[in-house]
Amino acid sequence: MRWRLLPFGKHRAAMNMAIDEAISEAVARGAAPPTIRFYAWEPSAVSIGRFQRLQDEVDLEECARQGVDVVRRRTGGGAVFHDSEGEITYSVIAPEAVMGSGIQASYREVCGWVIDALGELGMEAEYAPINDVTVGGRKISGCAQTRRDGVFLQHGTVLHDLDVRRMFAVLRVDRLKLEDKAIATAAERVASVRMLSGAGKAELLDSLHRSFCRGKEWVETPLTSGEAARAAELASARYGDREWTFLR
Amino acid sequence: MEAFARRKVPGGKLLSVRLQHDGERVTGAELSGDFFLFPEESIAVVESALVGMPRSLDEASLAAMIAERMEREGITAIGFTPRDLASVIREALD
Repeated sequence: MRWRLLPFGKHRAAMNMAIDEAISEAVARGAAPPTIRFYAWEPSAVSIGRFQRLQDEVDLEECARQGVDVVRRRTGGGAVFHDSEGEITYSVIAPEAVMGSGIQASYREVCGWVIDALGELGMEAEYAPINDVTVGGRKISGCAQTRRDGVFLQHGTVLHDLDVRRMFAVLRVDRLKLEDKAIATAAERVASVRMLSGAGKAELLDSLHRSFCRGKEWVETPLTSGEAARAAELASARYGDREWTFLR
Repeated sequence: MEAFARRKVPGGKLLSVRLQHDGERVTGAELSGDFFLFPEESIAVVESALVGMPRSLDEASLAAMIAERMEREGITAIGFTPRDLASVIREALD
């Protein structure tokens, strides 16, 4: 089985989420191979989990002031600030048969690819169940997974260079979430590749690319025109739709 | 009447429960948080399972009811168990 690697792209938040869904649909139909993509968000954006209450998680006025996009993902999990320059996001989309039916096991597998990439750059990262990767107890990567119509999707971010103040200006951090983490402040919960290893973003991307593709036969090709058209449709009809964003 | 409780489930996720009730029975329910639920649409099934429940239903019966409903509908939750959800609901209603 041959995997497809998409060229790195920067998109608006709604388009990024729409691309993941368009690929998932194509994979479900057997019209696309298992796919890995690395991408960024332009402008910077906040994505929230499928079941989060928007107003609880995001300072919408601050987002508007800073020109930060807001999107609701179709995956569960928490709110994430995607700095347009400060992180690399990945998606892995494949038939469930390829990734296995175990949810925890597949989280561990894909997080393992992130851990290997960070290891190559000299960081000792570890899997922190359910959906985090940490270095020295600080979160450096988070992810979210879903399965639908026999298709596995996991997307996640790897922090490269973090503007903590900006991040916590747009996110409302729930004190309850920090309670069982034995650390005092939200800022102490996170770490970035640049802070820990000095590696540049291109270096991080290369390293992620290598570890995600290791042991796989793969080819780099873009979205098909059908996928691109469907993504454009989903970006406006769903992910850019206020009703979806404000769902709960 | 409105009832609300939320909890960071130890080793799990944040779970918020908003309920409306008329004193006797629950008339509306909304769950939110950073948990995972497969399939995602089944959140509506879980929420509607709570509507109509007696406000005084004990935690063990509530947990059993939620577990049975989730199993029957093939719903998987990551980040909380039926017992966690039942416990947060009791906290909201008590």
